[in-house]
Amino acid sequence: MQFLYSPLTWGFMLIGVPILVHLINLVRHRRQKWAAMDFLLESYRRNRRWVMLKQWLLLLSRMLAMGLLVAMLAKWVSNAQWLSWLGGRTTHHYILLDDSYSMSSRQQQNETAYERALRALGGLTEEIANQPGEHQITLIRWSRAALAMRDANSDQKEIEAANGSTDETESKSAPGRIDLAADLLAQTVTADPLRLVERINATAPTALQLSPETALELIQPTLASQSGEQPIVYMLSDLRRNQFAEAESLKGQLQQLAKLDVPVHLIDCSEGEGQNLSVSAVVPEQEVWAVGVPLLVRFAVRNPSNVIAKNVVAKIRVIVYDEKQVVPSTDRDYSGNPIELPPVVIESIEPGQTVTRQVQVVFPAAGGHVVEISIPDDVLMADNSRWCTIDIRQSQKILLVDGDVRQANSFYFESVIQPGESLETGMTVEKVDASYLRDVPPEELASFDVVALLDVPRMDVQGVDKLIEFAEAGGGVLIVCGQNTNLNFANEQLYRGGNGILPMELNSIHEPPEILGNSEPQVAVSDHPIMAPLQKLASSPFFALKIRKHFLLKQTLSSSGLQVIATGPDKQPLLIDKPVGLGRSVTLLTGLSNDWSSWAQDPTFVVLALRSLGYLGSFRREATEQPAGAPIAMVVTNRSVLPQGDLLLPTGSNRRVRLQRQLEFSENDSVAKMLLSSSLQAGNEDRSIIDGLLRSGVFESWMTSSDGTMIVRNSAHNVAPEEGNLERISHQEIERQFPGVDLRIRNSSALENGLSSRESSQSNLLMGMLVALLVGEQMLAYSASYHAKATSRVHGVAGRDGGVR
Amino acid sequence: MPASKRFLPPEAVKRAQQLELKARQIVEGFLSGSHRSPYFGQSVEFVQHRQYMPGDDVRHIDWKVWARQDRLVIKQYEEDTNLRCSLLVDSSESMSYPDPQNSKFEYGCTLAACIALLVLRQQDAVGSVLFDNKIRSRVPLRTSQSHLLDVLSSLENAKPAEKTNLESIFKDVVQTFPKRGLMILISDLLGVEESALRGINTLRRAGHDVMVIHVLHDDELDFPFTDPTRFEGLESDSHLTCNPRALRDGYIEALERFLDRVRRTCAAAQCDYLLARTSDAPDAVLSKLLRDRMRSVRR
Repeated sequence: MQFLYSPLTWGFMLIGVPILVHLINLVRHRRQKWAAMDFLLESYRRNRRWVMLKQWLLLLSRMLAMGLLVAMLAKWVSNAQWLSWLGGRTTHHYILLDDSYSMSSRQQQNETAYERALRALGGLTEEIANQPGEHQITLIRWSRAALAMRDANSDQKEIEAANGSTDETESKSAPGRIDLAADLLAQTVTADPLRLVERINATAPTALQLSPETALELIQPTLASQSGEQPIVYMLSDLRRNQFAEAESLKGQLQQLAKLDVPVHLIDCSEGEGQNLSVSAVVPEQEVWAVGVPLLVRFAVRNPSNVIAKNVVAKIRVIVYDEKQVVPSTDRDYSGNPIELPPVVIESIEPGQTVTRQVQVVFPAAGGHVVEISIPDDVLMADNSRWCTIDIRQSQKILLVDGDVRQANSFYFESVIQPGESLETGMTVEKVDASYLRDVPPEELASFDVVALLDVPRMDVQGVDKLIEFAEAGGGVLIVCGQNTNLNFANEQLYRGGNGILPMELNSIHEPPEILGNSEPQVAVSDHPIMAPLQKLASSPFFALKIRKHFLLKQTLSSSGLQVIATGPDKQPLLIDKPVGLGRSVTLLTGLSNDWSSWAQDPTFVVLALRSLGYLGSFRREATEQPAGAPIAMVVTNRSVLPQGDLLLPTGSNRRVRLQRQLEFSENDSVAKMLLSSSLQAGNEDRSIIDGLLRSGVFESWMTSSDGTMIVRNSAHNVAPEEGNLERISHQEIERQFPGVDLRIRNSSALENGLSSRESSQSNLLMGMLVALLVGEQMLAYSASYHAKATSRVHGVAGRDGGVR
Repeated sequence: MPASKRFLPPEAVKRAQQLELKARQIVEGFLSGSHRSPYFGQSVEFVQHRQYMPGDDVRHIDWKVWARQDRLVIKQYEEDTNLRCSLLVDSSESMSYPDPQNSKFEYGCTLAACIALLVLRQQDAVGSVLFDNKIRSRVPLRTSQSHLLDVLSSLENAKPAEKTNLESIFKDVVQTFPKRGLMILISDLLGVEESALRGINTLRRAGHDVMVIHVLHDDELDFPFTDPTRFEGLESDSHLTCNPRALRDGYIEALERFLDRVRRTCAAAQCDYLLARTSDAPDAVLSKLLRDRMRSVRR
């Protein structure tokens, strides 16, 4: 038995007051001379035992009432042990707490849904503690459940890979480890339940997009295996439509629970939707990323709410990480040097629409720079900023392999790539002949971003192998046909039955008839990054372009992944994009010489050359952004670095967390690796590290080379924009969605009272007992004639009946 | 304070002057009066004829009958007499409740004085007997107006004490007052239930017209005590410490049973009975008692 105000327990001495009053009354009585003693003694003889019994009961009830009163004032906390006498079966409460980033949406009184959920959690645990019987609580955050299931699935894949199983349809999702995921695991509810959930109060929503079915999937095996307890599942969530509407897998999970007779309590922790805008994308163009070269960065702002948004100001910041100057700094948002760009104003965004804008960014130095796009604060801050990392190099290396003895093709490309000293395209060119590819080591070839085969008649097989290998590793290959192109070589070696770099087998050379006068342009472009600037023009720029010869393909394009960038005369494919492994190849089916086409002299050739080379050189780059929660890895090759690295994690404030990590080195020390994973199994004994990894923002990884220079790799972790759709689903719709499920939905406000709810319920219980006791005491006192009844009076002469004869 | 003012409040005197006390049954007075006598006398109310016997007064021979029937008969007339009213006032200690100034005895004396005044005013004889376990004072029956002072002074001089023993007292009274008259008993009848009831029957057997004025205090009828109290018997050594509220119902029930027994006994003995609360005005009590009595006499 515990009391919140234990000093007041001295008040229990007041229980003796009724006894004292009784004793005092025994001594303190008045004397009365009395004539009618016979009647009094007769009454006493008749009622003596009953009167004594009533008096004792009255005394006891008054003592008990005094005790209850003191217990109520001292805030008596019920002891679950003695209440457990009433019920023998343990009730296991599985509480699943939604910590997706939509839970950080601010609502009334500037309070987030997560804060409401935490208060509801306190109230819920107290409600559980107040129930009779023995209770256990398992508390799991959705993010932890997702990590546990992710770990389990990756383990399963490793096992299947080890066993040689490749049939993905047969593989089942492995059960996650609930012990690693749970914040509280089968904790017995004590007399002070708030202490149980105290640790959870320090947590915050993650930046993840989470779904309830993952959490349910995690606890399903445990629920199915436990037979000696009564499980109840609680889900504290903001009940967004994207989580609960049309969720077939969730429906299946809930029906599984229904089969196990497990009731599900949905606790709605949200109060409304509010208008939310989210930066849904920040994507740099697939162009040349080089110092001093303007780069277009596209960003998109989405309006998932049902109200039009007007005059949205998007702030753009470029954070420059100059490799030669930057040092890690934890007391700023970024270690790099932030540069504010003029903001972009979006006039209006219709409900449910996404508006895309682009900004031009020029980076002054090489390094892993960051572009940050942010919009004004709204109800949900987590999706108001988005980042991308852009690895800017001094220049992009292009290898020109020209088959023309006069090097005419490479001349055209050189003219475009290096037009003059005053104009920087960010590319450097190296010209070689076809034999170079035969002899070049793969590592050296890998130093180039794009290899351009310009009307190459024939190559050694080894050269072709290296080229394919280069493309599959992410490199880009540009093939330009011409009069030297050998059909057999191209079809056999470059096409290689579809496994080569040529998109299709070449058939023959087609010479379209020359058309005089103004007519339709021969060339038309499709929606492709290479020709994007030309596609958007009001009138076609290809009126002056003449295609005199071009290769026809043997078959129509059927292979998946092939994309026709431009068509030539008779709508025949002229420029084709083909994926090759991680890289790409782009094939131009006409030549640059005047007898094949006038393209080399046409202004559109500048666009074709620069953008195709920039496009092809973009596939070996690291991803510009990662989903929140992704592991952070920094790999440095061929550099001598110190064995310890640093990781700077964003915290949402200016002060960032700095983690020191030991590097992993390869056998010959050529590769140094620093990895930080959010895996629950990866020895992350400090759960705060996982909390840090589940945030969004820019994560900086730092290594120090042997010569003292700092090496930084940035990783931009962004939220999934879909979670920013705050549209709620009504309780009735949820009930309709999941028929046959024992679903009970209530608002968190019913549980939010927290301590006071328990106290009040406890006090209400005591109050009820006290009132009942006092009523009983009064009835007893009335019964014992301690209250004068309105009994019939013995009338005399003045009475109604007068004297009696 | 003189006894006449103490026991005869002006309101009661004024009211008593409007009342009349009639004997309900035949009484044996010693003067001509308004009450029926068992003897034949000089009144105008003819009763019967009787055969003349030698020695009878020839003045009573009905000559009209002799003239018509040739036989001598005597005319007999009903004799009227005066009322002999004896006031039997209980002066036992139980009558002293609750205090000497407002006691049941005081109230009973007031009633007795009013009745004496009334009786003397209608030329009837009144006397009084004050008793507890013995007769403590006795005032003979007289008809003179000055006799009222004798009655009042005997009441004034009395002081409630001792226990009551009604049966022996009434035997004594029957011997003292052999002629039939009106006996008015003023008592609380407490502690002497059996003897009181037997005594009433004794009086009735002696041919007396009996009226019982049962005087009880409000406290005795309502038992309003609430605080813990030690009750000590006035006419007994018994005592009881109790919470009165717990015993009230039982007490009221026992009292009701007692009153019921008294009422039944009086009804069976054809006695007039009236329960008088000490809070009732004495004149109201007398008024009700005598009006009820007159109504039954006419009937």
